Amino acid sequence: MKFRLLALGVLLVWGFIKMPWESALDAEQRKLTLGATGQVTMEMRDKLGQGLTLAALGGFRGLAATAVWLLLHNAWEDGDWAWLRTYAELGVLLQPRDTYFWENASWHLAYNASIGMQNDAKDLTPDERRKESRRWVDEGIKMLQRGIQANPEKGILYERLAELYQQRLGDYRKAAHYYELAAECPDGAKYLPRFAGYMLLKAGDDQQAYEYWKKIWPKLSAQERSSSQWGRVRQEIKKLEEKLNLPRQDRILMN
Amino acid sequence: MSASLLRIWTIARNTLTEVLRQRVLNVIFLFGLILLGGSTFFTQFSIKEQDEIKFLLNLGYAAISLTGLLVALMGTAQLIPAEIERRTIYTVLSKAVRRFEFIAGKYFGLLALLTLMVLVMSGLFYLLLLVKEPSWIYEISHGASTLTERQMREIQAVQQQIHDPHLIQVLLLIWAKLALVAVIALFFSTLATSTIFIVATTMLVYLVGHLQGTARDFWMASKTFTGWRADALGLLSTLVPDFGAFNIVDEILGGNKVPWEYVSQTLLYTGIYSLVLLGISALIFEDREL
Repeated sequence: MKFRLLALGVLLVWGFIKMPWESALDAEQRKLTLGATGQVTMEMRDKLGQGLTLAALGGFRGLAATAVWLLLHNAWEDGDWAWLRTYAELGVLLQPRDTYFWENASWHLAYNASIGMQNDAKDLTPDERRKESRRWVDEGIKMLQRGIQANPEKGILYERLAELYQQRLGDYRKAAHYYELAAECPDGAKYLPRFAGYMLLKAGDDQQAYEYWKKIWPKLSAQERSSSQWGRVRQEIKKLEEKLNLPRQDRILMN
Repeated sequence: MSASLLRIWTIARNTLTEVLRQRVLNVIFLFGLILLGGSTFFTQFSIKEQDEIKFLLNLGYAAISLTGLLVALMGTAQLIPAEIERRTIYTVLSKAVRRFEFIAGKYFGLLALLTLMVLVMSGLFYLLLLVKEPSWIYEISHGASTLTERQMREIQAVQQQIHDPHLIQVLLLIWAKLALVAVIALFFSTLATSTIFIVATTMLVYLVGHLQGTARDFWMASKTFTGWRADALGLLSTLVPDFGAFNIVDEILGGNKVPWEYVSQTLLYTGIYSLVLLGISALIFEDREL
């Protein structure tokens, strides 16, 4: 009996020692996940079914998210956009720090659901279809914006948002803005600064496009400037300098 | 001291041999391998190559974790009850083997099995990724000799995901979680003889341990827990380990960098927790009438 009492004592003493340690680990985890751990878990309880909640809270969130994504895939094949949206919400809820779920959820909403609505909603008038189609694009935009809030350091989400504005709405100014933000992220692809400039050109903002190149050009290495990709930009700059009739001293390219 | 370590080592080695022969554990392991191999089937639901890897990583590590959890639960739950049932425990303890040596030997034997299982499964999984890597790269490049910037970036992302050294953190954390589950099951097996009871209670502690963070959130947000309820929640927190610390695995699998300090802190926490619980189990076992 005395050993059992001793065991209970050790358990309690250890319990009080470990608690601040656990709190510190929990706080560190929240910091690393930008707060995604706590809040989402609370939300999960209300939105997920029993089985998925159990899997998610049993340390198998990744598995639960994958299962949800398979359901989303089925909803996509069936053209069931309402369920697709529900599964997309669940996917990002389970894995808020994984950009895959945000970018794909947004793609399904803004492209598949939106185009599906435009082409297949035979019971709606053409005007209603257009409105519905646009509504799904907006859903996709909102999804990416929420993804950016949860992952502000991930360039890919800004890039996808830029693509969405460019391809789905033809809003090149906003596309340029998000390409620029994507380029500023540590993981931003090297081609993104070029894209931002091209979008401004497409938007017809010659002056702004020129100002943008002017900001970017000095930051490029000699190797980058001589590459074929940046060679095209050089041509665009030259054209702009002529078009805007800039004085020689204000030009990026002196020759 | 060295004689004691030798006895623990001998018991651990025998335990490993014994559990490796158990049919139940072999079936679970086989199930894990099927799960691992079957995960490639689910990749057909993905659109891009990077998505395929994402699915594979999620499913693969979940397969390792789930199989390990079952092995840790079933394996540990049978350790002591089986010895008592077969009456081999009397033979062992009648020799110059102390009870704590017996408990420690049993635990380390099972820990060796879990280590072996995690190593074999992760090795096979890595091999699976290596086998699929050329086909993913080919899909991106379409066999072209010159690649666009975007293609190069995608190929780089695929290679990074497969050979990401941070995946070692995932394995270490899974292994640590399994070690903790095993020691909890061992603790209950020093109190009870029923395997079902041990498995059920360990599973409950595992779930409560995962809910600790959520409960704490709920408690802090709602402010409805006051008085004895707050005390009960506090007591629960002292008795149950916080399995939520291992949830960082999702962050790593999501492609985010987690510092080694956090991982080593979690490993240290698990190590000390396991040793304390092992000590407590040994103390309880000292008092137990066989």
